[in-house]
Amino acid sequence: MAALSADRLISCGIQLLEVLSAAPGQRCTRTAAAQALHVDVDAIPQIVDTVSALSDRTSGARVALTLDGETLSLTGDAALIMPRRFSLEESMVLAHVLDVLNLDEETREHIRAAVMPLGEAPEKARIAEPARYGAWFGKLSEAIEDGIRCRMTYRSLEDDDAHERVIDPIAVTEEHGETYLIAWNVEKDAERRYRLDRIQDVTFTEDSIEQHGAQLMDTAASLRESGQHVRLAVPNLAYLQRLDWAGIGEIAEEPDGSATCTLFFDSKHWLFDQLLSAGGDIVLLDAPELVGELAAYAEELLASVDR
Amino acid sequence: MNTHEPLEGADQGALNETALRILNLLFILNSSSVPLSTEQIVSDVDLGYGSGNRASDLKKFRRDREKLAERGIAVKEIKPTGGRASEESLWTIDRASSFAAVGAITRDDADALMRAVDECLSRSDIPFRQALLDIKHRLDAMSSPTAHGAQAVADGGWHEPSRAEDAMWTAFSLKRKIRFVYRDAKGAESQRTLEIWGIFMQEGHSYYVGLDEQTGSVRTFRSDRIVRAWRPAGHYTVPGWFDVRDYLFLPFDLGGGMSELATFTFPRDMGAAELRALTKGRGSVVRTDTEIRWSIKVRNMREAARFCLVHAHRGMRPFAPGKLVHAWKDLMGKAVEAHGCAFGR
Repeated sequence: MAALSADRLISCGIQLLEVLSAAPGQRCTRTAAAQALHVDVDAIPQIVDTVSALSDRTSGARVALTLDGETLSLTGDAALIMPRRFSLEESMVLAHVLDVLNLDEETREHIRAAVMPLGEAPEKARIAEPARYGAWFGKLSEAIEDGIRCRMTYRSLEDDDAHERVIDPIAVTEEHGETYLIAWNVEKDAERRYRLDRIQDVTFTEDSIEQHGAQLMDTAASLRESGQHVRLAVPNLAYLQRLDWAGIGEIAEEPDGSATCTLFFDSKHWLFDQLLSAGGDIVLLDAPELVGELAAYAEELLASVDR
Repeated sequence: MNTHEPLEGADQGALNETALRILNLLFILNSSSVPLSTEQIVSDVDLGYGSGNRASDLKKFRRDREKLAERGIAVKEIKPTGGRASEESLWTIDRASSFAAVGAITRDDADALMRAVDECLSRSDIPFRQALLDIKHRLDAMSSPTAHGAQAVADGGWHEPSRAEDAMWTAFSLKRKIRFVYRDAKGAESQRTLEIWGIFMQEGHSYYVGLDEQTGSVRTFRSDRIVRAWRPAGHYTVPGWFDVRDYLFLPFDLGGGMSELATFTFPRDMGAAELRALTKGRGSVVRTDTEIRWSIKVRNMREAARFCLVHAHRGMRPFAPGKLVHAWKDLMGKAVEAHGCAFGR
């Protein structure tokens, strides 16, 4: 294979010393080193040859680096090197992670001071994504890891106001671009999913979580398990395929080209909003009571704007 | 940024000499307990200086310091205090700016950060996976050097990015222009040269935004539609006015004609996180005594009304202009009438 360029060799030499300085007993495998340095394993001998030739004539110190079969070893303290601060590239990515996960400001400040480059004016963010982790990811992920029962204030789709729940957090999961907490609702004694951006407060209790036999259901399974269902009519199959709804069940194409489907849902308000926003393209089938409620809901909305 | 670029057909011996000299400079400065004088360094033949031409060796020493600085290691000059002007400088590694202050990160900080990094790594839509893996491995080594270190690298989820993905990220992080072949939604291929000003992730995809030389305008390209990419070349700067968050899209962004300002309202007690998620952080938000008002430019007023209805259960309502409110009422009226009911009478 071709030799590494001087620039690459310098970077790899520094990285190898960093990797070995941090490794238990200052030893690691050739494969692990190659992965850390992003080079082919065959490039390792060239890097080792270069680094092991380093010496200080005045003090007599030298780098005692050996490659014995598959194992790289660094002997003595002379070549140990502290981990460098992050590069601008790494700092840009890390700043994005800190921002999007909304870690608390104190933690962010510690991290910035410890590993980000000093004296560099922070560059305007060049990476973005919609906010979806809310303000409590840090605390909830800690609770999941440590098994802590939590008290959580949450506003569901059906609630006008937020309510407190006692939960055993189980996992954070992502679906259709939204991030959810899967947790056991202790009072309901049932598995529930909560959107992270609707959580308004989380506090730890003194209790530990209990095992509940949670199934870690996705939204579709969760809706089938606990939701209601209706039949809907839509203009055609293509229209149906564009609807990014987890609760869509059995689909049928009608002789006139229109389509019908079963929809599982857990919030009437959510269902009504989808029907109203479709402007008549989606129609409830065989649900006269719901139709009456839909019309009343629409009148309420209208009144709220005309007031 | 690692480039994976091997040397091809160059004089390997001479290049190794350069690498050896610069690495040796780092080694002697790092292992020495006292700063070293300029003379000690530039006269050291074993180190790779001492050519007999002092001016040339001084220039070489300066270039070598710059090479180390590019890799995050700052060599600082110490001027003798109260000494004569002719007295030579001393040199040492600026440890505070070069090395991480490992002790400043508490175990809790490190744990919180690791959980955040792991959460991002669990996603499939991130274009900076390799940089994140590097961060994870380095944090691992910093926070618990005796327990993790290099072995953790072998255990970690190694992901080989595609060549195009790797080239695009390199171009972005180094601010270099990149030429690539793009296949649009209709399957048509075109060759573009792009200054990647920003990257955003949305709905399971990542997108590159920047100045497209072909059209001379700011364009957005979906990463999975990039067929192949060439080596990045040619620097650029990102204009101060550019904000990648403006490119997070909303359903009413697409449409012909000029955009118009539309205003929506939300209940005053809506949580900040929920509001930020819904608005994508775009537009302007004003809190009045009774409500929150969100104003944003809209290209398709009917889609804006539809968006408002989709989020009606969260208290979102149309406020202005009149045609937004009219479109909102019209959608509702048609929906109710399609169910055989009268509306708004």
